[in-house]
Amino acid sequence: MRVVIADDEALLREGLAMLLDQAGFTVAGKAANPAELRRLVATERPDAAVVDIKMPPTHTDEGIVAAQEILDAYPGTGVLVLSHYMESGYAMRLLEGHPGGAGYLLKERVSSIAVLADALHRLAEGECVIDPTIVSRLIARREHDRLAELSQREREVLALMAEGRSNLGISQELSLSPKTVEAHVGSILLKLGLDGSPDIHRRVLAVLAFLRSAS
Amino acid sequence: MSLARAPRSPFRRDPAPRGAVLTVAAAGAGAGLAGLTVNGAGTLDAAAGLAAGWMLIATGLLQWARSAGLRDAAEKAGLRPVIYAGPLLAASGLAWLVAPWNTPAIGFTPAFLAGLILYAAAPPLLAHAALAFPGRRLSRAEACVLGLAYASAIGVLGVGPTLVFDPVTLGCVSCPANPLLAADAPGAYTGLNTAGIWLAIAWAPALIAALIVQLARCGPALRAVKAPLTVTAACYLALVTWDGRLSLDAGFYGAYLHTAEAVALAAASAAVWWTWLAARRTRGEMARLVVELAAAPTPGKLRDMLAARLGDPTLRLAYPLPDGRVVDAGGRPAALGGQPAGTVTSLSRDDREIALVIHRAGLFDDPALAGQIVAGSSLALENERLQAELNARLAELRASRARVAEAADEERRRRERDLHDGAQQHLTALLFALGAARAKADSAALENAEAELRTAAAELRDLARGIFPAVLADEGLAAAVQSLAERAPVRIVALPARRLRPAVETAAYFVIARAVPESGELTVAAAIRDRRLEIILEGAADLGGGGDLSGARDRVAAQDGDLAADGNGLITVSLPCG
Repeated sequence: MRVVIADDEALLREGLAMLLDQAGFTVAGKAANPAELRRLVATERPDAAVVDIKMPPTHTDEGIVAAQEILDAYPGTGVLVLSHYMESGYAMRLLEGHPGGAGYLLKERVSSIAVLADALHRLAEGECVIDPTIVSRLIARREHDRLAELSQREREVLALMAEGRSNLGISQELSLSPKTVEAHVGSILLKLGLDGSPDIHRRVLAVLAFLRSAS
Repeated sequence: MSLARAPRSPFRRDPAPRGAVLTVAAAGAGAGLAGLTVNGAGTLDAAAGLAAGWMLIATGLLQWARSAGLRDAAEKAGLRPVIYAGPLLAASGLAWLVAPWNTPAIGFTPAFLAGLILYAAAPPLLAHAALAFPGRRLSRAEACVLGLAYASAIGVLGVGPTLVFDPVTLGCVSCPANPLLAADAPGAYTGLNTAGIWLAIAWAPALIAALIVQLARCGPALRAVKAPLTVTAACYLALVTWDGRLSLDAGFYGAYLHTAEAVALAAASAAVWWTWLAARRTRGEMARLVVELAAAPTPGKLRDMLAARLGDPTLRLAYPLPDGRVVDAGGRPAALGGQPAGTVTSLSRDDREIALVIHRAGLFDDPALAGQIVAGSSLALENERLQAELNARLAELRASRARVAEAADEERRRRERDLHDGAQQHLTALLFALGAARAKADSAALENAEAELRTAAAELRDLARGIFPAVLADEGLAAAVQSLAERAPVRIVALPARRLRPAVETAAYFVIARAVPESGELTVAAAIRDRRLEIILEGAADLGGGGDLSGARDRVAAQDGDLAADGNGLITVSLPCG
């Protein structure tokens, strides 16, 4: 699987390249800013891009903007945005235009090769990826409202739904049968009053929006 | 301020014209009585003539006294009015009374001579008074027409015929002799008279035209003051023109015309009284305004009042501060640059500039009018100037608070950036390296090290996030508070969707973030109403004792907002967000 990297910090670019190499990915190119990234994607046509959210010139959300452009121009290319910000708002923004193939992970989590590899493979398959730390924080602050109606198992399923996993992914993660997962998902959507859209991306957005909404 | 009150009585406060007033009044009274005894016209006409003359004399003298009082005040305010409209009015009244003495039947030589010489002096004198009223300088053209009228009325119709008029030759044996008689030439006498009347038929309409042109050219406020006297004087001049025509044709003197002229002159006096009443009303309004402004200072009200009184909707007021700046009533810097010449008038008191009036060109062409209005509003001006100075100081204080807050924020952001760009990047790079190492040779020790490092990175992330998250600058107050609610016990009821000025968003976020309690939940409701961001916080942390609330208060005050805390967890904030 061919991957390009964009980060304005040389130290992190190289570290990330090393990690990806170890995980068995081919690093097809490295960019230090959004313009270089666009050129790299155009010439190398990678399977995925790993993009730092903070890049020149303003060091705020250039990574999200660049990610959306790539998703627009090259459907099928996964884009994983790495961020120091634990902000569900940025994650939502990234997903809203292009739910499939977009991912938002906290930087410190990708040092785990398993996490990084899992995320990139899921993106390549068209799933979306939301950092579990963000999801668990959203769920944790909702102890006293409608989430309390969910069983422990249902909450685990809900968290995985919010992270962008498909029913199959959830069943593998929790070692449940796909049928059981399907039943859980139906029950969760019913209890929370959410639209049971068959489109998994819409489902992620709906669940995230519900979790973010104030009680 | 000396402009505050116009003198009520000409005799009490203005000693200068007193002697002249008494003399002229006595002369007028005597002249009128004498005229009454010798005039062959009907009693009604005689009474009307007498009343008109006396009214003009009295009005003129009173106007003189008034303008003398106003002149001192206007000069102190830096204006230079002329004040001879009053004496001219009185003189025209006197000339009017003296004119009938031109008959030798008067039996008293000096009176007879005065009658002869001043026989036609009243019309140019009244026109002159109307042109100069209330304190206006004459234009060159006006002075020219007036000069010709005087020369014709007093020279050709007055002095000229006097030099060649011998009553004895004309058949009046009992008449007093004419001591000025130079040559007995009845032909010349008739010729001069006819020529003089022809000239009068020319200059009287010319004066009417001058009056109309002048009225058309002056500003609305001055026009309102001048119009009554101008119109009545023009009527009188029209009657004089007609009179001339008639005497040329028929050679007789119509008594009804004389009565009509008397009525026009009386109306001219009444016109001047009317301006006094109007001025009194203005002073009354200004006095009420001062009381009102003292009770509840409203910047701009004085301006509106002056703009309405002076008939200039573009009028602005500005106040010079001791430090040399010029501000408006609200204390904001007033722009005076680029004002064309003659549109900024400085008003002073005791040689100290108290206000600048920025107005339409020509508004203050009549310094007496300006002086009068300034006299009425001086107290209000002084009051507003002090208010403006106070407001300017407040604005300065607010700006310096804002600068302090901004500097503190900048310092904080810089430190956050340093943390992020330095330590955080290195930690993350180290994490990546450890991850790569573990992939080659996994061990419990490496795994422990990575876990420790990850905790450190998370802690550093929370530290570097600081009080102002990137999302605040990026996506605004609503997103930032939403993000706050994801990691702290904050319940959101409502938040404004649209972006506000960064300083307002920062101040609002600062207050909300600082109000998050140790235990319990903070409820946030914020909305924009009347161009203000209104925030209600319930269950807020008690910030009263520490420096936090004062920090929050400072930030809100720096944005010209209000913050109120009831001490029981309720905080209300109101920030202007235009």
